[in-house]
Amino acid sequence: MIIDMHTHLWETDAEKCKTQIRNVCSQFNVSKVMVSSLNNLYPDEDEIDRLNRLTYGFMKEEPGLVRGYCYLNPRHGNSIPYLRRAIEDWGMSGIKLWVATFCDDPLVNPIIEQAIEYKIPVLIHTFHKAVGQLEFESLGQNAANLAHRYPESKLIMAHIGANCLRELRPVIDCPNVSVDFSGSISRCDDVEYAKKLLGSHRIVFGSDMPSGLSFLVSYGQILEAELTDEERDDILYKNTLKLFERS
Amino acid sequence: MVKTDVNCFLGNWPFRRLRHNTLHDLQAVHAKNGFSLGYVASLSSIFNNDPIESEEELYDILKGSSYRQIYTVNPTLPALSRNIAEGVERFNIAGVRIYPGYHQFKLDDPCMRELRAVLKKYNLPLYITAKIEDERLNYMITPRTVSCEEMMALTELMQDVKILFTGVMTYEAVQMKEVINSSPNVFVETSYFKGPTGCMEYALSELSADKLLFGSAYAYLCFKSALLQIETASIQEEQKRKVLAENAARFFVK
Repeated sequence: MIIDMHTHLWETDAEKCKTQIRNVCSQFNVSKVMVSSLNNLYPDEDEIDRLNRLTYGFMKEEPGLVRGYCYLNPRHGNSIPYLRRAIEDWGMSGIKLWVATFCDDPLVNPIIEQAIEYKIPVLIHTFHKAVGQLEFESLGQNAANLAHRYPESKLIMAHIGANCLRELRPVIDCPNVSVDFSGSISRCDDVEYAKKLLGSHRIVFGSDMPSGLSFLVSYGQILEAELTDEERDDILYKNTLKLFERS
Repeated sequence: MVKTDVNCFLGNWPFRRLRHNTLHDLQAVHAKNGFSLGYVASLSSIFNNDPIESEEELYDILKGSSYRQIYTVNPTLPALSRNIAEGVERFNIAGVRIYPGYHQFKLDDPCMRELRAVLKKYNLPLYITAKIEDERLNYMITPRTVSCEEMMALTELMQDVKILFTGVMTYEAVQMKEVINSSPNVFVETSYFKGPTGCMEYALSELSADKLLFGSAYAYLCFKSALLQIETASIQEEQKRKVLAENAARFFVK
């Protein structure tokens, strides 16, 4: 079984994204995808609503395949009531935070507290860039700060921070932080390095498809990594099932 | 069909430990995926002030195997022609590889004229490396960005030398499609064709299947990720055969 816990609909090309996700799932026997919808880096409240309705629409179109993240901009005053509607009325399964604030900004606290109450995971974009770092783009240390502040939260550090050699050590001592290796540029042994530092039980499978890198990049990495069958299954779906057990 | 990986690496990368950089590792991943031939460059040679020191090591490692040596030169160093002649005589090299990003020279540098002459003399192909590392992951040093424009311009100078562009993204290869498709001596390898979804189908809708050669950049990048892009693409079987085997055989024929 495969669960891809990191996929997107891009608002400007949403129908194409849906088709590509469906095709990949069909071709590679992906049983479930966790989807969030994105567009501008710093969305206003209307855009957040449009994007989450896009995700919700895909959930309804593909109820057996698609689970949704509620994407939030922590700067918005309506985040908590919006989150309640997304979880309680629309049946979304997790929260997505991108680059509107650092993930350890105090503005994020109420969102994490609500996530703890719902027992849902929070997928946090973390990406160190030698060039082009965004103003509020979270790093491993930001994720670690948040994890220490809320040890009962379930956090997923996306992209293994991009440069895993730099970004994983800050979260070694944060057992409530898992990582996905989507968008990790397919460096040969990133999965094995992540396993060495965190253990396979803290790695989940995500691809970041359909834009950016293709599904095949992450899929090739998990097939090639030196793992036992049990560890591979943990990463491909079992760890994700545990994180999302509420749903 | 002899599946061929035209872009393999052995040696060390100064900024991270490579866990699978022995010839045994390379042979194992190739055998597991049905490959029996590879063209190998030394990562260590990029950073060695005397690259021939690392080339000697690579030669000793490859000796007796079915793998062929691609010889790294920094054309801004002295004795370029002499050094390549040494590579031909001592190491039976199959090609020459340059890294204008790491070695900080432009492809219109005067040294490229000497390089052209010696490549022509020995009938050796030239690998031009656009990148090894995603620029966002650089550590300590920042290689110069090698633009598509300068790579295309180089083909004007090197019309009588076979050229292989390596480390180019899908969109960059497509950006250079007119030169690649129309120049009989210009080819591109696929190790950095990583996205978006359907990138191989897109590449082959723009580029001739005669011009793509499979490369993995293993042991730096993941072999399987590169191979899946071709094996699972919705393209003709004939196109797959060309990319995985036949084009490499033609490229390296003397």
